[in-house]
Amino acid sequence: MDTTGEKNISVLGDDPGLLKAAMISQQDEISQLTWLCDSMEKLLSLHNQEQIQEGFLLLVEEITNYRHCVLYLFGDAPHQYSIQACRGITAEEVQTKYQLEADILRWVIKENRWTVIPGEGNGNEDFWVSILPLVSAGKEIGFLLLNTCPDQRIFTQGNLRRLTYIASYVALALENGRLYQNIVNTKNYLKDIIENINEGILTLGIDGNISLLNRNVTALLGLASADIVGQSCQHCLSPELKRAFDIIIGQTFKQGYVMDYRLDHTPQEGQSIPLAINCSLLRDEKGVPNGVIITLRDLTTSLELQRFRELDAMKDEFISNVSHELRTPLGIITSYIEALLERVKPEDLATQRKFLSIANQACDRITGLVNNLLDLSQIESGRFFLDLKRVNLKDIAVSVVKSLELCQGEVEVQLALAQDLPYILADEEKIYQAILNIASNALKYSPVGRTVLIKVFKDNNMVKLMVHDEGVGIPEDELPYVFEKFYRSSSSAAGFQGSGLGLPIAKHIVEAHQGTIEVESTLGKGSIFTISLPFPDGNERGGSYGGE
Amino acid sequence: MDRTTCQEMLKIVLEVIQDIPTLPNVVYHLTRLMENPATSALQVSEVISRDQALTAKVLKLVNSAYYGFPRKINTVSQAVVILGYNNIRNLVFTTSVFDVVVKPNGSEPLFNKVKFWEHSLGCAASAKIITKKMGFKKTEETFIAGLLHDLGKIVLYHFLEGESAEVLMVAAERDLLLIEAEQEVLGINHTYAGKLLADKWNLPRDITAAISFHHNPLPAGDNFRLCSIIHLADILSRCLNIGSGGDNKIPLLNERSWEVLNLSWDKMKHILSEVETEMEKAQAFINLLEA
Repeated sequence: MDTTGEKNISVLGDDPGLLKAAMISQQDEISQLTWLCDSMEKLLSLHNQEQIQEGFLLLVEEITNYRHCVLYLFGDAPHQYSIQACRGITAEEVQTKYQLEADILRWVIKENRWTVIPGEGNGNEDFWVSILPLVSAGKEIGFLLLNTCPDQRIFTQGNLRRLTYIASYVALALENGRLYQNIVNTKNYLKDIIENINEGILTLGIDGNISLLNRNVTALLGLASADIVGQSCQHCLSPELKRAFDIIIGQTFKQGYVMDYRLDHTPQEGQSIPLAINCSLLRDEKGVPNGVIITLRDLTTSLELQRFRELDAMKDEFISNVSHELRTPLGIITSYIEALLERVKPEDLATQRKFLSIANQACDRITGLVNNLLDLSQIESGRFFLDLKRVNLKDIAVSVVKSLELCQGEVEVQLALAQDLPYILADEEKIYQAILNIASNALKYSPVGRTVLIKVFKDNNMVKLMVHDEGVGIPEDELPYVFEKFYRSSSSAAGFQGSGLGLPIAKHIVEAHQGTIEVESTLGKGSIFTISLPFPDGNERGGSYGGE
Repeated sequence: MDRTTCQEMLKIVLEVIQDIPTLPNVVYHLTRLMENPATSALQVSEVISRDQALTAKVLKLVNSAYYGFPRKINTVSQAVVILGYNNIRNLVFTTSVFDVVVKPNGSEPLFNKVKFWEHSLGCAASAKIITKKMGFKKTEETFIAGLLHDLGKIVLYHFLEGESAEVLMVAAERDLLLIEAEQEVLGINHTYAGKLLADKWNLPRDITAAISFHHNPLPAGDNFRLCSIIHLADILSRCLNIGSGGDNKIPLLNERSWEVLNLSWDKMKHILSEVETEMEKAQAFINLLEA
């Protein structure tokens, strides 16, 4: 070993100045580290990326007194980075001034240490460029490019240590901030989904307290406030809902779920919401139940849609029936008029008369049908008015029978009229129409040789008209539907023509007169339709008034 | 071995160590400088530059594949600002230690020198990978500690050949760990001999601890973690059959160390697969040292 070396050791070892300087620096280092720990604690508590950046760049400035610096952050793609913040320089200037060499950058990031990048001039430059990598738990977050004075007092081992520590904490803070933002975004996204979904969503904890609800729940259940998270479900619900929820939740805990529990809920007087309620268990990641999730669906729209679908189907059937009803008499008219024009001799007046009367009957059928359609259209559109006058029901019955004579053919119509019937206030034409509809039905369904009896009599404070036939009758289970629009009973489907309009129109007319219409029937024996109309108690009324 | 012979052997070892040359004074100067956080790269490079042979070696090493910096590093001060203070300090230490223990007097040690350094290198590479996988930054420190962990064996089997020949025989005959045979035959073992030399050379405290406690990290105090890493790395390099530490046995893993290192078997698999690549890089480093 060389002797000069020996000498150097003793000189250095005994140099009190050097030792003192080292001790002072160590003390400074400790106080600096304490200050650094506080700063780091503050940075780590931040979630906002810009605040973290700002705090970081200030700390670095304090240590290095940089001329300018550029913060780059890595994107999702490997080796892709972009400028996140600049101090003392603009982003455009950075592009022209610095061309970062990829291999050097990769090396520095891998080494994860503040590193001065050697320039071309072998250390004689008037500035130093250094890179401080930001790496958190092996994940490369970004790096800071620094332009400082080529001052030896900046790149000391103390500063190297400090900056390297700051960088790893900042990387952690930035990564935390990013994760925090992700969580916030995910939470907001889920909240948007929950708030905007078409259904009401309500979750309850195992203790029965509300843990989440969306605004649809408050609307559907008519809750006064949405601010009831944490409160007991039992305290917030009406008794009606409470009962339903008890059943649903009880069943859910027993069998794991409840599907489409139906409830007509009345959140307030006069408002009824048909609800379908689903409920299932909420389980934690270990599969242990920790509550229930309840979804509420408003069925108003879907029930309406279902009704519309049914109506649509009925209308289709109606159109097909009506077309048939119109085509048959039209066919008769066409063929008889053709025969008149081409085959019947002009002098054969008897045949001419017979053919014309058949065509006339067919015309009446068409007229009746069209009248019914018009009536229905008036009823449907609300333009149905009554022209009330004093009339005797007996007279109307007689004129109906007269008009039926033409087509009664093989069925006998008998009239039984009571004497001294009180007059009623009625729209004669409309009542005539109603009775005609019922009586022509009776004729239509009566086999040859049978009788249709029409009886008019007074019963208590009503004048009644009864149409009794000995026809095919109506099955008992179909009786409740005979007055529904477009409804055709199974017996009428068996070869009888009809539009399904006559009875509903009759019912509407009678009810518009404050009367009632009833039906009794025995299958195979016949039916009895009874119209009851009130008569005024000695007081006369006249003029017209709106029906509906 | 009785107490008197043990005392005599200790005396002999101390005398041998007394005769081992000190490290060049640049190392001591550097140590002093590094105690001061305000030390600048220029000061460090000035100290190194005083020793021309060292300067040449440092520049050769910093430009080696081991560090892998993509550009040529022309000056020592550049080396400091690029590789950092710790790397340079460790590099200077290792170079100086190698100069003393590898090159002296031409006499061959009792065991295969190449295999011995291969084992040390295997331990160093494993230690570096373990440190990295544990998420710690001090990979260079653990690398050097791994490289020098068996320094005591140089003392016993290189400078004290006469007394140690029996140790190797006993270890081979009775299939003992070298440390067990040393204790039985000499009364002292290589961890203690290594510590004595490290003290003489004023090696950094953590490296000295690794030398002393790599077979039993429990008493290592503040350096328990580092010593546990070297302990595991030593066992790994033996398991992987990298070189030879003079015996063929694998020591038992200290349970507490395993707990503290907290490595999953999954991570261990990664470590084992990465050691080989690291070995190649480390080999280049040693080749340069030996050149």
